[in-house]
Amino acid sequence: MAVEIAFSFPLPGGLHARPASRLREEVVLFRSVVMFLNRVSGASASARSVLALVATRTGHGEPCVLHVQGEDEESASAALRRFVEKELPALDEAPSARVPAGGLVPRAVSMAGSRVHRGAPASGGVFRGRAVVVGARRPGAPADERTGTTEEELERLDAAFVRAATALRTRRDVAVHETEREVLGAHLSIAEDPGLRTRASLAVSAGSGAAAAVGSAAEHFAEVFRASGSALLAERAIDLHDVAEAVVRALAPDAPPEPPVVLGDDSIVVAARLGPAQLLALPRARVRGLILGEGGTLSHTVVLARAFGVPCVTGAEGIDRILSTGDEVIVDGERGLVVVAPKEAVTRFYESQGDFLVAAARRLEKFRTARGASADGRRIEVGANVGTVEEARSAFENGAEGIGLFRTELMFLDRDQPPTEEEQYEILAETARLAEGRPVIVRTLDVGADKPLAWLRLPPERNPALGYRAIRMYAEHAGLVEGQLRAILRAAAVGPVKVMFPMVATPEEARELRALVDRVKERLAADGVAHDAAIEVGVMLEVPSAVLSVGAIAREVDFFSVGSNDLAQYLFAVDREDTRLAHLGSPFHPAFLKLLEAAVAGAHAAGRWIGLCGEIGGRPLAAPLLLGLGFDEVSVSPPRVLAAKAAFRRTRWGGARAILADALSKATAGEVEALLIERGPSTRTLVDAGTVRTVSGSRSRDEAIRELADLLQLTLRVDDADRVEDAIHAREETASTAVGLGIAIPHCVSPHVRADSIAAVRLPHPVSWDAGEEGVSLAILIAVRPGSAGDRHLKTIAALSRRLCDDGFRERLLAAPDDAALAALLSEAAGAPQPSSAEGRPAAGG
Amino acid sequence: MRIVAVTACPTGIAHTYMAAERLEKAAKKLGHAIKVETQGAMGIENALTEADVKAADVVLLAVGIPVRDRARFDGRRVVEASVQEAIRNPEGIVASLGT
Repeated sequence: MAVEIAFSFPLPGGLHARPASRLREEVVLFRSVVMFLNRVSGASASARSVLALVATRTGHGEPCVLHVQGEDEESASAALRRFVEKELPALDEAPSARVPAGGLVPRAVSMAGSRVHRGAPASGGVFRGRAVVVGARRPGAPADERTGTTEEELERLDAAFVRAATALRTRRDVAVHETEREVLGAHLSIAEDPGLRTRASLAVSAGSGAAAAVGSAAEHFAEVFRASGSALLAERAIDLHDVAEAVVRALAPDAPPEPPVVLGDDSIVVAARLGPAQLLALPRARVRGLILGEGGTLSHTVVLARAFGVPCVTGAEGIDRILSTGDEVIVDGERGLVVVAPKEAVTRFYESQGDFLVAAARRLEKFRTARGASADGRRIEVGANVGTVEEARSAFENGAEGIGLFRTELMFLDRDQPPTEEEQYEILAETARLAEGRPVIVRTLDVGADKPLAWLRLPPERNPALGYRAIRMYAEHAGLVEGQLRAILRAAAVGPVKVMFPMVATPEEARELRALVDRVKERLAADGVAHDAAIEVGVMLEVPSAVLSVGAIAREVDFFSVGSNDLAQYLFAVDREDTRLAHLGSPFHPAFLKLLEAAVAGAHAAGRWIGLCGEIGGRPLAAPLLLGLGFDEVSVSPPRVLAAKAAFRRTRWGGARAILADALSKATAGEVEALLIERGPSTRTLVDAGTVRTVSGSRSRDEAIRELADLLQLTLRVDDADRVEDAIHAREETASTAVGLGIAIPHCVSPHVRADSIAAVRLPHPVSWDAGEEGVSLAILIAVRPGSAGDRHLKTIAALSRRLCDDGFRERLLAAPDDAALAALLSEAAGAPQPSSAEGRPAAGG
Repeated sequence: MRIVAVTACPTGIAHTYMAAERLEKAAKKLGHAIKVETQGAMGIENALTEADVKAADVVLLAVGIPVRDRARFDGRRVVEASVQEAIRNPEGIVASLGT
């Protein structure tokens, strides 16, 4: 017996991800097997697979059937019938109600009443311009025209594949941009994939036209990608369609080329989906922003956008239907927002944000050439984690003192055969040349079932993180590994390149790897190939057993680097891909800090240097811990290099040691973070020339409040200006903080405040603070942390508040000649010592 | 006239103290004795004693939130005002207490 529920699909937007995942949620409550069938297309899918459901591409009004079979089919079908009738029709409503990860919609934007669409922030930056909607091409449905017999059609198909591959190869070879070359290389390997060609040929043999056959073959593999459960692979589906497009075009080489997309100087390209090849076909300098309906943050299109520095928002569902070419749009790649027809207040907000971004970059600028060190001169090298030559270049431009981690996987992914030794050597040697004497640590191949390589044919594993991966596979793939080691050893003759092995768990493994390096050296020497025989050999510390054997391993290697993400995953038994477990496995946990302490102590006792290359390295809050632990080097993502240097420069070695000692005595990660906040920047003065502005551009209360919050963000006193702004407004709504006398004292208590602070803006034209109120000429913001350690600060704020009642004092504030004078007055009134400079005071209690 | 007052506002980090300052100055100017207790983020400061309350002619509560320990004023003449009002027009409030 089985139950069938027939219905016509009710949603105008079709069966997209949201209704599909809701349907799945209903289905998994029961044991029955539930199949979804689209009667128009004949497509069917297990209702337990969101991706397969979406892949049925069921549209509005199409007749569908849910086929329910199993021991509980009666209750399951009753529940599903209710879902289909009652809940499903309402699921298209208000997609904006979903709040994807990311920041708030800034108040200036939400209050202005401009239309806002949310997506994911995929590439940073903000641009205001005009939309150019690029037509979405529907994959898998090209015109099905057969031009001859099956044999002729097969010949035509083969020729098209060859032509497409040739064209891709040519474009790859002339590509200037490294990332572009990699993407085109990946496309080339798809075009040359025998699987794709075979599947298309089978379709032709079965009577299909060549174009349709290519489309359906691409869609078949795209579906497999999407169903893989890997976000990375799912986003590669876009690449498949891109290549299929190229092959279909090559079927008719004489057909007129598609009309080119016309872009102006202020064009923001909008598309439901945009393959990387489509992006590359556009005039690069004229793509100023990118808004995509599909595509997460891992797709090649997004990777290219980042490489080109183009702001990009992805996952803006239906955006190509919402926007029309010529619409005025702001793409906010920082927050993942698209603002349509921005009102003046919104434009002013983004202009001021742009000024603040520039100012923030300028403040970090001085660290570009600075040596990584603590405030009192203890050395800690700040390097960068990269995966391509382009990234390495950007890292060095951003002040990296070395490459602490060069991931080699990118050279191997997205291809159907491994790169040659020569290809690898070129990439590594180029990086070594860019380094100009700075160290480059190259990590050998770290792949496994979680990072699939087509040509390795790895069987799926139940638990890939704990399985057959990284060095554990090296014996089986000896030729591959030797080729990589040869390339690394040869590149080491160009500059100070070091080799590092991932996933080492025991001293035996370290010994074998060292012997392997020695064997490869001998062979290179025998072949008379230039290499560095004295290359330093290191291992990652990312398995707890390796940390506990660090002394024994040190006898085999020259250096260590802690992979903090994996080490935490293995220490806490937490799969870091599982968002449900995100609250576990914090690198601030005292247990983890104890492990790090053991790692550093063991390495130093053996006279080895030790670095760290995980995400925690890029968290300014962690700077006192990393410094106190005694790491010799920290390697972070390229955009975080300057901020990491700044964080160390604000911290004193002695203070960091004391903070670490206290952190190790805590019980929870939360307690450690609270300690770091409390002992972090709080010794700073309440107010300085960086937090006040005697000449403000704000024209309204809301703009003034935003400016005050931005001043604190700029001086690193708050960690999220959007949220602090909201907290200030929440207080303002209980009662106006205008106190008469031309002054307002907005204030807030918020966990996003890092250091108790006073900010002030003097308004050239008094602004109305609340209805019927006289104008406010001076707004003084007081921002305090919850449960502030700062009774001391609260006292000074109280003292300041009392002083503001003094007519003479107010007049002096209103007449202060410059920012420094205004800051000095506020500081003096608060009873605090005079600020000596705008920044650069030691932050950690030392 | 002997006045005792309490000031308190929602966050207790600024207006509580401004109101206290303004009321003290206004009372002094108008020739009255005043003692102001602040109930702010630092807790209760300059606390009113039983004797203070007993000796006062009037109790002024300039508050934006419920005042703590209100029972001690039972049976006294109590005048309420907003914190904002106390900051903007302290002399007006103090003057009105006499009537």
